[in-house]
Amino acid sequence: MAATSIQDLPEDCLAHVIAFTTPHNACESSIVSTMFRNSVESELVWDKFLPYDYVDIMSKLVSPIEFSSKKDLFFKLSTPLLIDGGNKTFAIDKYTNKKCYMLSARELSISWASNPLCWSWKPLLHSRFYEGVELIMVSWLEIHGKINTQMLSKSTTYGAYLIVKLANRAFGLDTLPSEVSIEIGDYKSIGTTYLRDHASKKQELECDYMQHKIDGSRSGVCEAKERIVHRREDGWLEVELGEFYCDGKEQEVKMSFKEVEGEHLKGGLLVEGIELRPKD
Amino acid sequence: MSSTEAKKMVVLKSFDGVTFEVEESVAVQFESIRHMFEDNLAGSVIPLSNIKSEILSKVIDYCKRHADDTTDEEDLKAFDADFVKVEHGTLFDIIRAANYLNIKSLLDLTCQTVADMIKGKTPAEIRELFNISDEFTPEEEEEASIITRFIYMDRYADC
Repeated sequence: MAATSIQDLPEDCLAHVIAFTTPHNACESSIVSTMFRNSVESELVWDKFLPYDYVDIMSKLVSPIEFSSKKDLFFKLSTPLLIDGGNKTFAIDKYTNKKCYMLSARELSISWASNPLCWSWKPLLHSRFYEGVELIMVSWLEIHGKINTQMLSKSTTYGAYLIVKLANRAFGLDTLPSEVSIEIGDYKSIGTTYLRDHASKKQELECDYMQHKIDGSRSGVCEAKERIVHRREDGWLEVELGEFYCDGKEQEVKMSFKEVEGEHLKGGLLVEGIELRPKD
Repeated sequence: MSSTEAKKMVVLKSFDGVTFEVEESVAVQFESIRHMFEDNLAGSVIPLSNIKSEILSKVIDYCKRHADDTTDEEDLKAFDADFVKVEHGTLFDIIRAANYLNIKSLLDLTCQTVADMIKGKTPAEIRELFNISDEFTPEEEEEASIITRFIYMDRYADC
């Protein structure tokens, strides 16, 4: 008798195998054979790739979505969708099938944000949210966000990113380094960043100099790492606030961004929110 | 498990006629024939007409090891890792048996093993690995792969 081939497996079994790979792998393997293609289309596969609490998450969607299959639903949920009254977005990372969230500026606590002379709430161009906030002028710049780990995927290292833009009139934002931090349980990480779009050579040197000063003056916790502002394809800038490991225990993650050392005024910062996504 | 009290035994008969006498504690892991014990049919011969003796003996081995609550977790992990180091054909036979008998942990273990072989491989590499003949025309293949590339092109545009 000839040895059993993978093609001899019942379609359900092959679907079970594919459900243990990744969504990307599953899509790619659909051209291996007709049997693979049928198995990849199976509800069993995509049910496994969807987060276990997807029904609960879908009940929070601002605009309900229609779908023809679990696979269709998976990819519809892989584009950020507004939830919780439009103050957050939810998405599934289509590579790792982990949960991603973005907290809008309204979900954050921003010092002086209710003072219209300091901050101005308004719709921002190319934003996912109805509303964002622009810094008019403050000397004390401090932004905090928090999220419960129960909302995130287990056994996953997440990165938290502040999503911003700099207005043409931006000023005072990169005079001194800003401090970014993440706190979860006993773990705390602190870093620094200069809020600027493109670092010129001169500025880089300046950063290095400041970095030495900071490294020398700080002790304990995590060492201060400088985070470079990264320009995203969607036109926004992102600053990594730090990373943390989500082990499944229910904990609160506190994320912050601040520049409160300098007494000078700063302005022209547009804040969209804080994004949480798995780091690969 | 006490060894003094009389254990209920059950006889399993493979497709090629070989019989295996196993303890009830082992055989109850076969979800699909569990009801037979609940109906007190222990002692009778249960025919498993689509499982070869070679495979049935492996499956029984696996269930014996997993029924033994004196084995510590590390040993069990090592046993599992060793258990799946078999030829592809044997592995697929075990998957079929685990599916037929509905042994969830064994089905997960073996399917995960095959999934790990597939992970990160291109369709051509998967075909070569499992000796699968090419059924699609180049046009059909191109069309399907364009769809996948389209879905996955915007990797860094959003999350």
